[in-house]
Amino acid sequence: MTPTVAYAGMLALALQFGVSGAGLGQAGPRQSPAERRTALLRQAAKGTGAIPALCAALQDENLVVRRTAVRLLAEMGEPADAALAGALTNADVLVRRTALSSLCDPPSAEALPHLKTALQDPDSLLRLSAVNLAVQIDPRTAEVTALLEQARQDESSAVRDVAARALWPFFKETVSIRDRKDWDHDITVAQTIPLPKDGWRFKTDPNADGHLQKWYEAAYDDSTWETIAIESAWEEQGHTYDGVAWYRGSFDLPAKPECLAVELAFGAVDEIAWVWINGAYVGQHDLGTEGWNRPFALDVTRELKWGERNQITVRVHDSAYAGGIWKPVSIQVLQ
Amino acid sequence: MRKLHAAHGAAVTCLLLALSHPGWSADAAQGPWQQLYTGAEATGESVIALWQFLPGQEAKDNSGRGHDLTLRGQARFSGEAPVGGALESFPADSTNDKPQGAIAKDADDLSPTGAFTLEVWFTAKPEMAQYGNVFLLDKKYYNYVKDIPEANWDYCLYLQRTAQNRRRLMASLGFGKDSDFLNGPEIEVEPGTWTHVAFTYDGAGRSRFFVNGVLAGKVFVPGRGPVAPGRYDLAIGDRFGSTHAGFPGYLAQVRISEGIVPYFTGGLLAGVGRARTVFVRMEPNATVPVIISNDSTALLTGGRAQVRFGESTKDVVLPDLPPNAEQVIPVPVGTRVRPDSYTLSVAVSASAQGKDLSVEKEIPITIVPRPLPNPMPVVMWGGGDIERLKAIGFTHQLVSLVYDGKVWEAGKPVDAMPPDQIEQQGKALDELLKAGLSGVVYVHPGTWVTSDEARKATYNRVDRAGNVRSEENVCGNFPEVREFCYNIGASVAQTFGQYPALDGALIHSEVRDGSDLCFHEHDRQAFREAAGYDIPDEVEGKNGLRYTRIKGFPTNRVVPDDDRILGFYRWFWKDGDGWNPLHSEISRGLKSTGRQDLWSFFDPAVRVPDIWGSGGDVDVISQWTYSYPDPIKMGQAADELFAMAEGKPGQQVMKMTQVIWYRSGTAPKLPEDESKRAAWEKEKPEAPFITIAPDHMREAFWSKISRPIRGIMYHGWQSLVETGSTTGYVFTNPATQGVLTELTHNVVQPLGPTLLQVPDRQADVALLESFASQMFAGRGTYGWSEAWEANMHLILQWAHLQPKILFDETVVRDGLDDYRVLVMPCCDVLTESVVRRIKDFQRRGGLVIADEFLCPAIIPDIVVPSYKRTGKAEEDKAALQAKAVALRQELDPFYTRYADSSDPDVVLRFRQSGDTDYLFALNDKRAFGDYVGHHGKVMEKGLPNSASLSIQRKAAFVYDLVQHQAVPAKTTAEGLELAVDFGPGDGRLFMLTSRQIDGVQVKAPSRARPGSVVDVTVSVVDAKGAPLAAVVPVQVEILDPQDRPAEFSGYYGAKDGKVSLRMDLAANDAPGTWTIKATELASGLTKPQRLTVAP
Repeated sequence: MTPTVAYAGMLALALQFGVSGAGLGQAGPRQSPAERRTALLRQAAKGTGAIPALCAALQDENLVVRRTAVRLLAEMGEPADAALAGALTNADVLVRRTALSSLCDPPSAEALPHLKTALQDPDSLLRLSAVNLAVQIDPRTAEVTALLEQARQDESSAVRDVAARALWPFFKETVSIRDRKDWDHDITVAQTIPLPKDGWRFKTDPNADGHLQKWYEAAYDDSTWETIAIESAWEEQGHTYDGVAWYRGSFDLPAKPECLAVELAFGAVDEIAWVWINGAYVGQHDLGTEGWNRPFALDVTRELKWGERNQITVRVHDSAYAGGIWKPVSIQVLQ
Repeated sequence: MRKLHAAHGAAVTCLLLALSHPGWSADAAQGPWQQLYTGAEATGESVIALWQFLPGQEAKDNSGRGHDLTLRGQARFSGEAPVGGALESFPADSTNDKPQGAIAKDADDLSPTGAFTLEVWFTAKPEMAQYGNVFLLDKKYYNYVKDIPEANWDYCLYLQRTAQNRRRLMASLGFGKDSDFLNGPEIEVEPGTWTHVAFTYDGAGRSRFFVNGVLAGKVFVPGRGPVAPGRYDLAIGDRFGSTHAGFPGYLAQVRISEGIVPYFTGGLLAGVGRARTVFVRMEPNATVPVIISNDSTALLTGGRAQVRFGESTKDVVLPDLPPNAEQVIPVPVGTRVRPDSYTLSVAVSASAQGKDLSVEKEIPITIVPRPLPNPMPVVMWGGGDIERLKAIGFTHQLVSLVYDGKVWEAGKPVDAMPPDQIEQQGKALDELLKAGLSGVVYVHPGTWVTSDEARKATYNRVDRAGNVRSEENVCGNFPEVREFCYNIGASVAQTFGQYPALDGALIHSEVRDGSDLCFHEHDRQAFREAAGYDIPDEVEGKNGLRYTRIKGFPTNRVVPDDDRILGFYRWFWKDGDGWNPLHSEISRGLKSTGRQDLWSFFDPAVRVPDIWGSGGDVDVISQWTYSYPDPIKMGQAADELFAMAEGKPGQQVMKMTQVIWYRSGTAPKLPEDESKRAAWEKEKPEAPFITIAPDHMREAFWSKISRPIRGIMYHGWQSLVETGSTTGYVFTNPATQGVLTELTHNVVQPLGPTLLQVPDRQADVALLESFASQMFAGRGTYGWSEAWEANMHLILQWAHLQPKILFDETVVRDGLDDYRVLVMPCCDVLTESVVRRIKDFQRRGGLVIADEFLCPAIIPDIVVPSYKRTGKAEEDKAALQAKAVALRQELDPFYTRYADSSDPDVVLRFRQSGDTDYLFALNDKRAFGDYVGHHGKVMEKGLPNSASLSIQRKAAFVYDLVQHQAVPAKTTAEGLELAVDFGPGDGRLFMLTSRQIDGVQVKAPSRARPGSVVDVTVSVVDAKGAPLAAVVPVQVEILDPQDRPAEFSGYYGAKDGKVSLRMDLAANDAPGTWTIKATELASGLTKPQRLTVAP
């Protein structure tokens, strides 16, 4: 939508409400932007009768006046919905965003048409608002999911991140046997098998779609990935990067020992980790930014292959500063 | 539990104030120690080792015991010495980072089993002045507390720098489980002058220090036995296991003997012990107790003492004194005399088993002037030497005045240190007072508690499962820890509160970064009592919970004020983590003896989320800031402090600039091409921390001083002055020190008393730093001035706005009626009451500026999209300044700023008193220089600049307060216009008054008698003779007939144009014609007034 078209629509609306051209600043002594804004505030204080003037002001040459107008419309609620719907094509992205947020409050299926349009908007700010609203729609219908899938392809990483988070399919309840409240016996670590520090493969995933390409599968060919060591942040190994990245590695295990359970113990991953063993999802460590220095353990009793070579994949998300598997990883045999 | 590392409660010590004779006395000159030891003195049974460095046998042990030496590093033998030859040793430096001196292999007999004596001649080279500790001999390795057996063996003797050419003779003895650290006398160490020192230990707790044959100090630690035998080699002229304590000088005739050498024994002593010898003029009840003590092994009889002070002489007949007994003679000190140095003379004689003993002592007593009102503190956050501290313009340094373990064991307020340490620290405080400096005691009991594994196991924070967290950080909710903190404060107060030089206290430091949630039952209960519900299960970490992870989080991101999770975090950060209450307890203890003037401070106080209360009840909060990449971030951090202090009426703000720069942030990688390296990179390539660039030092100063701060601080002494440091903080830019010196002398000293009385100008632009957003969206600067919120503040400064930072609580308490613009960076989540306030504000016409993160419930008028720094200084500054320009374009139709600059690099700020404005203008025009600029991370070179400043104010007279002159201003339709030139990193300070200064008046009597009171009033007046409605800087010089400045000479801030002072003429003030000269420092007008002082 071009500003010219938007302006024409607004002008029609304004005329429908009987507002003269002078209100649009086309004739008569020119008021300053501050004066025009003050006038809008005064008019809006009187009630919905101000809607035509506010509509007209959505085309004001000054962006603050326009935004004041759309805010005042949004504060009027339902009576201003028509005006706000018109504002969705306003030249000013902030006007469009305000209108969108107001029309989609609360986010619901009725809002989908607006959101679809907004997700096509040239301005990423509006697309970000739209995807943030879309993820809040409950229930998550196929239509909503499709919308989010579309957003996951967005050129803006901020938009993609929101969609990818919402669509992320892997989750497993993970409670270490050591923390189980129903387990009333002492747990001891009978054996610790450290995973190798070197020889891991590494690939960044700025689009956060590595899982769609099944980078976690045991047989995935990672030979073209870069090599990396764990026990040190990826930045320290030349990767200046924040976002999602994947580690893949392998390790040999001896014959199965006597054990109650087996856990994969991470000293720390900066910040969030999702873990697969031999292609099977075994759990996540997701405390947000708080988790960067916290040790955690995931039950891998069923997924490990004793007496064989095992494959491990770790997807890591780091939002800022250092990132990666920066502390040792080991297999702990519990008794 | 670890034992204390020095004397226990019952220790008896006496350290002589000063040696009677600076060289060795005539009697002492006859001593055998002056001769080359021969015969039994060299090879007798009691001699363990003797090194005389004789020609042809330089490395040989002349005692015949076989402890021959091996040279280390650059060390070599030299022929020059008072007796025999010498060992020349060196300090390790960047070109020769190796152990120095000489080594004798470890042997059983080098660890005496009872009493022993150490002797050594030494002379210093001039470069010794650069080094802290220099070792004479060492078989101990550790001269500090360490809880491992190998740190507590044998002995060492070294010199610790106290001032230019002055050092304290120190010894440490290891007893296996712990050690004693024994303070000897402070002595002159003049390069080229040979000095003989001896140290004796009786194997039962009694140590003595001798200088040039004269007993100069003793320390008694009851309960001690022989030293524990160790395994280290004996090092001469360096520390055994370190490369940073080499002795830059020569050593001669080094001897170790079993038993106490007969001519190094005690006798009759006179001194003043731990009593003060420096007093503030007019101080009441000043008394010096002269202590006569029997340090011999015989009964002293027939003793007489004569004490002379001023005009009075007191003769005292002493009772018989058994060994180790004392007799105290109190000597009143009249403090009404003029400030000066006076001498207290003591002459004592007595008999011991028929042998006559005598001692004469001259004890300097100093009277210092009373402090002037409103001095601005310039605090060295750390320690330096008095001469350089004073020369640079510092007023305070940190001091250490408490042994935490001693107070912990006592469980109540007690003497804060062992007696010898109290005495030494007391003298140090007196020396500060004499020099016009003050001490700020650093107390950190909370961190001490968890510094020991056993205590940590009990008192550290625990996780939800009750496991002790690995990071050391005490749980502040243990009642005994809180009581301990009070006891620490009270112990310092009762031990050192009498010292006027003790002026402040730094309470803990950098403790809350390591804080964490804690789940003791008492923590859970404390929260339950405060909130009425249990700690929510959802909370995992101290920095909140992302709203994206909370199911059912409100879509408009507005949370109720009583949100359960937010309620928890409010509690945690205000009181729940325990640190603020701990600070309060220490502060309460410090004031428990009545020293209400003793100001306490906590830093870094905004290294926390933005919620009131950081620092607890401390008087002052502070924050340190690194000036790079943009020095005006100093002001941003200061403004956060003011926002924090809003919640504690009366609490004040100081601001610290880090003298050190991290290499990683400024000059990370050494250029491979050597020709592209800066001079310092060639000389000190390994320096981990370098000196702040001089133009940054200057600009950062102006940025912070433009705020109404109570004082300024600096940290990084070793980067500010040359100390020889090659590791840690390194001195890499000699120009920085000069800039600070200039600023303290030209700005802080003359204008500080004025600035301390000038409040901020009411801001009409507010910047909200939202606690709710920090807890639910991971926002916040945490005091690092790096986050987008901080960059937004910089944008506002470059847009010539003067933002005031508000916290949620400020908005809820005060509303937004005072503001026209509200800036909301990173305000993703808001509480209902904050939203209400903002909506009211918008309804009133207030403008909201925000970013793309803003809580959907608020609709902004202007959006400034966020910017993530690239680390490229020029690019980042240009991007942020471009945003400032864009913001101006959008804002200016609705907002008229009070002042503007034609140049975007000139940042303006106002303070105001009545209708008088104080305009600060600082020059942020910078480029890459040749110091660190070639790394592209910091534009460290300031550039000259000029600008036209416009102020929306009519009819003002403008004065340059730094240049002390009136400034021509052009009147325009809008107000005033000033043309201003700037030097690199420069700041300017203008006073704008409604009335013109016409003169200075001095009202004082023309005649007065010595000892009488003289009232003086200085007024800065307009043409009608009316005092100016401003705080005007004034210099008052009161000169006696010999042109000596008298008490109360100095700088004042004349509030409402007037200064009143009351002179108490001393009876010994010089009669004749005095001059009272007052100069107002706005336009430079002066008025002299004569005063005839006659009986």
